[in-house]
Amino acid sequence: MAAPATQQIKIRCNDEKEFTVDRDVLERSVLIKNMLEDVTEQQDAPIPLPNVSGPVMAKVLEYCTHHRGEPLPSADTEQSQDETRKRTTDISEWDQKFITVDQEMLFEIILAANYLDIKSLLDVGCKTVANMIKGKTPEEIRKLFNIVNDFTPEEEAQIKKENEWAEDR
Amino acid sequence: MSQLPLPHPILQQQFGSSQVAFTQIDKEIAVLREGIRALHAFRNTFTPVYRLPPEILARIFSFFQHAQRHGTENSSRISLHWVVVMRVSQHWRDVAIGSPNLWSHISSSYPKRITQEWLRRSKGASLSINLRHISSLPSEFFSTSLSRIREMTLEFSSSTWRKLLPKLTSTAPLLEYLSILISDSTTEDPPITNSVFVGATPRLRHLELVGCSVDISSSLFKDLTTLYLNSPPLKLSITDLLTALHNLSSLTSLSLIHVLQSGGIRASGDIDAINLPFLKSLTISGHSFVQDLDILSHLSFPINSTLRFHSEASSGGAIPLLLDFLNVHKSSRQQATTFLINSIDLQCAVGVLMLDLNSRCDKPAYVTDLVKFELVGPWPDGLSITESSEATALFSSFNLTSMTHFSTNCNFSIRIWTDLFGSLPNLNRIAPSGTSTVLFLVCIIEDCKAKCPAQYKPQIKPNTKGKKKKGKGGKGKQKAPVASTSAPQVVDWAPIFPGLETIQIIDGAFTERIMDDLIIALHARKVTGKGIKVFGMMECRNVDELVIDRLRHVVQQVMWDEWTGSEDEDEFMYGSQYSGDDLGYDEYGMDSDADEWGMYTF
Repeated sequence: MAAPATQQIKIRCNDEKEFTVDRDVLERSVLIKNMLEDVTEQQDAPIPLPNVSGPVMAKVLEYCTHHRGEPLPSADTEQSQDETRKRTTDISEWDQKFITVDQEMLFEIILAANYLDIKSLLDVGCKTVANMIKGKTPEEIRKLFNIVNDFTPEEEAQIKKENEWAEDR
Repeated sequence: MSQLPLPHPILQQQFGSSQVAFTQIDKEIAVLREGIRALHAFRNTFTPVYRLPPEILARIFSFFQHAQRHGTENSSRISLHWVVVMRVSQHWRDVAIGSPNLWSHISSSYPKRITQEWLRRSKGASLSINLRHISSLPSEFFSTSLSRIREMTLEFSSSTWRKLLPKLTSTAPLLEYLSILISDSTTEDPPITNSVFVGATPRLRHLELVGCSVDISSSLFKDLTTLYLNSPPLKLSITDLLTALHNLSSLTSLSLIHVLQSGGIRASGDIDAINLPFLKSLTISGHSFVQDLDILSHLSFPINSTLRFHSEASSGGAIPLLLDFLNVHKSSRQQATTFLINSIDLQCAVGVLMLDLNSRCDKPAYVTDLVKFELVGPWPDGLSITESSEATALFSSFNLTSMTHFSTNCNFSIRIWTDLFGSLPNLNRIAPSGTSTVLFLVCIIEDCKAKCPAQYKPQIKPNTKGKKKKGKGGKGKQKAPVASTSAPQVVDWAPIFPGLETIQIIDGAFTERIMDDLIIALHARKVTGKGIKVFGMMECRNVDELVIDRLRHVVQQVMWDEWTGSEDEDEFMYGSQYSGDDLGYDEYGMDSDADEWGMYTF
């Protein structure tokens, strides 16, 4: 039988930071939802989340709290929505504000969303990065992410030639 | 002059000849370059973005790729600018090349070597192909790849279509989206039959056929969610069409445009109601009004569906047909309880009626509260409704009490404006256009003249100058009314259109006289607390800065597109078309010698 929505669950991050959160908020994470479903008896011990730090989890929980109650994608709809989802990089106003963080935190949120299996948050993060590189040259993208050019001049010339027909289209 | 660096003494000793030296040094340079490249690559592994695993980076590339799509959501035309990610770093390039989905959109406009390379990189991923305006067919699409195609968009001439059709003879197990547009198609072109894809398209959900004849019994017409049929050369009978729709209960979007045989043949009587419980959008266009109604009368769909209904000209006018339609379905709601419409957008060319109805879902009637109503059209000779009985008949199907928006270019007489709409409590926004403008404005003016206590109108001075000279909006002749600084006075005056806050006039023409009187009326409404908040004018004649300035004193916001029309048009509007009596209005024609309020001051 499903537990009442108000049940409080404890989680512990990799920096020992603990959070006590409403179950329905935490169940935005498919990983945690499955873990909770596998546990038959109520346990007081916090759920360990070794791949997420406290500050990142705080952001993730802010997202989950805001979107609590929204329908989760079912396994059936997941595949069909996947294509549609990729076709737009639109992000809602709240999500945009939420994801306006420094690069370090942005990538941490993406990694946490991936680990915790929160598809909608993962998409918000990926769309944000996609929007960041929109309209930029390779050099500008490198600068944005502090990447250096690791092609040899010959490779670079070859790739540029390969792509020339496409980049102008 | 700068000095060249000397070679290391040990190296100098190793080189016996210059040739050996070149070889050795070049080798050394290559090693160092590779070392630097490797160091660069190693440095990149410490960047925050490098922490993203390849599958997430590929997901970002996919969003980036689709963000470059042109046009509609389903358009397969994509910009290829996304390939810039290949030039950022070795790692990004490796991730991109290793992501088959990124290479699965292929177009006939790509060079052949690129098509082959992309097909190779796409590995086993399902394909989206887009073939447009080509005369010969790239065999690689149809030889081995047909079974991998998920989306297919084809735009061909009739002759290419004839060459292609015989090649579509293997199964398409992944095909979900098929769009075919045949230009210059004829009745000689072969139709799509069951032999196409051997009738095996189990995942097909979206089918768009333009200029393409079809055998409607083909197994393509099964389990679709979107069906768009437009102008097949071989037209369908309405009975065949309705029979096919019986197998399409999953439809969410249905568009039938110029698909029926002409002649207005009605469907045979033994066709049951077709239940389309998931339908969100229905467009029927290009047939006679009778045929369109015939289709419609067999369909049953949810209350929140949107219906676009654009019929061809029909003799006898549309209003009686529309009334028949509404009455039939109103009375048959017990039998077809799902035939509840939330929104209708109706057009029919003779007496084009465009209705936009919103109804509350919780009301079990067919047409419930009418919230927004548009009665607009390019009327062949103008549409005038001057008889109250006619207007009452038209609107009796609806509960007007909830109506908030009303747009029209139909010439209702002043009496109808007043009697039918003038007292509606929730009517908040009126958008008259063209010839209907003047009669609507006169309603407001006449109401103010008749009922508003005199002390709330601007002070009237007799017009001692006699007949006014026709000109642009009273330019330079009158003082602008001064904005009232005190709070509006609440007076015992229930003006016409009591809830009106927005007036949006499109393609109207103002005489100097009407504008003067309107400003007085709007002033009276303002000072008595019944003011208009927004007064908008688009493509209106005889409007200038001074008119706008005067209006700004009597309404909260004036919107004007600064459009200017010609004097000739004005003469036509008021000199010939508005003769007066037929419209139940005889005072505000071009001859303005009749009773005037005169000059006003505030």
